[in-house]
Amino acid sequence: MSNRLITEIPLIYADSLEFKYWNKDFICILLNNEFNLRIELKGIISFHFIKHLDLDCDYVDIVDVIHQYRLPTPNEIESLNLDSKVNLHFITLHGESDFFIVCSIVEILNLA
Amino acid sequence: MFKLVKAVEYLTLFLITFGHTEIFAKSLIQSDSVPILANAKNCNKSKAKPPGGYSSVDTINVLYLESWRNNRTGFNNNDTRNAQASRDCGEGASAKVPNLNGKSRNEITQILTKYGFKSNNKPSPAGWETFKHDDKSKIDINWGDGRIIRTEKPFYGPDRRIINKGQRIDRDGYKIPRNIDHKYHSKESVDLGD
Repeated sequence: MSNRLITEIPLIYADSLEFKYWNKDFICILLNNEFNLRIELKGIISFHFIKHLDLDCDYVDIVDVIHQYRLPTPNEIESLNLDSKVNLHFITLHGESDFFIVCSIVEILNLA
Repeated sequence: MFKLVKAVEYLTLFLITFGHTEIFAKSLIQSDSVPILANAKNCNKSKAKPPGGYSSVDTINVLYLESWRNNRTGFNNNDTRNAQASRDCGEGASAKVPNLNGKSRNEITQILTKYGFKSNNKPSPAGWETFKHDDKSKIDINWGDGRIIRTEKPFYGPDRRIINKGQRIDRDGYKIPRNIDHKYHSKESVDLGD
């Protein structure tokens, strides 16, 4: 398992974003064809999505990325109902929509 | 393959020599695949494209050839020299707005209004406010930490799909190379005044 952060890759947009329930796990998959990137967020504990603007672009705009791999704060433990103090990925993607995701595994795959 | 490469090199020299430089330069400017250095030292002051097209196209050609050879020889895309070589002026209103670095919130709002940007008036929970122009270029500002991020206006391919997805522009109006990480993007930020 890699602990590489999304901030360490040239991700300024995603061609698609897929959220699915598979094998008893919530998974989010971001694809970027330009750089042959597939980012899989597995073991999703929290997925919060806000659409801000009329979407007039045919891709998922990612203006800013915040990605922290850390222990949850006491507030987060309480609000997300976490029962253990293990490191988790806290990811915020801001663009024409905002995504706030907490998950246990992030896999950044280069498909080239 | 080697012969093909040689043929392209000879064609390039032919075009430079026999006065087709303007056509050649225009075709390069429209290409997504090669990094090009524009002539302007500051895109949002002197404007990227002078009336009548590019005049000093030899500069562009030389830099294009250098970049092209580098790509052929496995030049490292993360090398800073490559980032310098790809300083191509951005397109759209977001590239024409002057450097906002160190300006106050009021000054920035006035400048963006003057340049025809409209706010979405709905800052995100993380503090981002988006200013959009009619040409669909935009400027995102985080009033919490002061960061400013400019996005070029979209260009469409024959199938009407956007071909410059998420192209960022720096504070001087240049395109930020697409292959570098967020943390290496040029800094432009609001004076929050604490």
